[in-house]
Amino acid sequence: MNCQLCRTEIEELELGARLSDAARAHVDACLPCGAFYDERLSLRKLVGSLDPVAAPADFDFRLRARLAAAGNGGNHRFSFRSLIASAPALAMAASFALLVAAVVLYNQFKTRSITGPPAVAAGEKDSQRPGPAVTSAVATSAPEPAKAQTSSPKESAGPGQNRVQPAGVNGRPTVASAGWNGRRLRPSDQTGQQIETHEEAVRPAPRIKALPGAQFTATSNNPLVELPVRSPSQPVRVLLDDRSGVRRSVTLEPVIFGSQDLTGRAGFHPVSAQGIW
Amino acid sequence: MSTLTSIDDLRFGTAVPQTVVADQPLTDHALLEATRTGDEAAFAELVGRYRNQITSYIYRMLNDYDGAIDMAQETFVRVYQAADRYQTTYAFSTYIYRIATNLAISELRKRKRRRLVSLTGFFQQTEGQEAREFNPPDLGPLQDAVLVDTERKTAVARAIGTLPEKYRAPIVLRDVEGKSYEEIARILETSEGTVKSRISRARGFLRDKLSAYL
Repeated sequence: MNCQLCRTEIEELELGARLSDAARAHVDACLPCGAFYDERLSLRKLVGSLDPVAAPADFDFRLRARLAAAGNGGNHRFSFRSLIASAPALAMAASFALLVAAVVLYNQFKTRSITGPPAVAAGEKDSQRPGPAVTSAVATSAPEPAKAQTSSPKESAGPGQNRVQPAGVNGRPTVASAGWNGRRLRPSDQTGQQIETHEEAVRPAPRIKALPGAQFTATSNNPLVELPVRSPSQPVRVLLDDRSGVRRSVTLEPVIFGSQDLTGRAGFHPVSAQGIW
Repeated sequence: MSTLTSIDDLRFGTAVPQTVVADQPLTDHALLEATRTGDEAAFAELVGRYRNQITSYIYRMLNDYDGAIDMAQETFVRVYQAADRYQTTYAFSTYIYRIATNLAISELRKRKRRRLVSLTGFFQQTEGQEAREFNPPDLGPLQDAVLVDTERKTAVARAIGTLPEKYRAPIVLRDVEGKSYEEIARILETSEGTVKSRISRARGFLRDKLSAYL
């Protein structure tokens, strides 16, 4: 038997057991292995001399109470009060999240109440009609009702040009017909019906074409009417009659771009009416 | 009226079922099977059989008596709650020692994360480093053999407490609890070769730390 095998047997020896004859002979002959055997034996006795520790007298009672508590813990119901008591930071974070969610919901509700029902409904409603949404259009003009308004009063001084009167004070500013894109919607004051825009991707916006010297009308053959709109400084109102006989008023608010803002909106007088809209 | 002489007389409930007090003591498996059916007395019998062993074992692992009691009770709670899932593949002692070992190791790691400062912490060393004695043994003559014995046991317990977790459990199970290599391997869910290697390594650490007592 070599030293390695002998030491392995010493390591794995049960406490109190005797070495095999071969290992015993090797330990007697080999001084290092003999020292190793004595050292391991005394070490195991030293470690094994530790007294066992007894459980306390109330171990069973405490265990029983613990089991009962564990059983009750399974039926524990969640309550916000207990959450606050146990984890105040978590409760504060949850409260803050609820507050933020409430503000967001309130803002969404507020925006929805301004814009009215969703545009999809109006789009679907309009799409069921056989013809175009606008069958005739009449531009209101105080002196000449049959003429289309093409510009603001300040720039329509030239003879032969259509004079345009801005939107009347009676009408509340805007009723958007189907096809207007990017206009802000407001409820109708005439029919009480809320009309929403929808994107041009769904349906192209009708074009309003001014007929010089007469009322311009869109027919089923030529559903497009064209209204030249040239950067009015005041809103332009257009009245639309659909097939069902409902008249709608569309107010086109002036568009002011940044370059115009630099010059001051109040004192802005465009030199040319073309291409600014 | 009989007089209570020990805590064993105060086991769960006064009515001990016939199955527990039978002439032939029930095996651990049978007791756990009875526990599964709601027999609290059977579970009390199991607790009575293993409470001291488990408490002592965890105490050697943690070197903290209060913590050992807490972990021992948690061990029995786990056994009780998992009685339905118990499989009689191995001995019940292997099963409960495995739970106790896992709990003790978890507690040791938890304490390490908390960076608790304790006297035994001064013995902590990483593997391969030389042991650093915090409380060197008093080599001078002592006047009472009891004091010598107490001192020696304290030093041994501290030395065990400084071992890394993977060495501590096998050496305690082997040299303190007297388990076989096979059972230790089952408890630790590893191979016998690994167990033997770790025990040999742990003895090497202890030899260095307790050289004054050898």
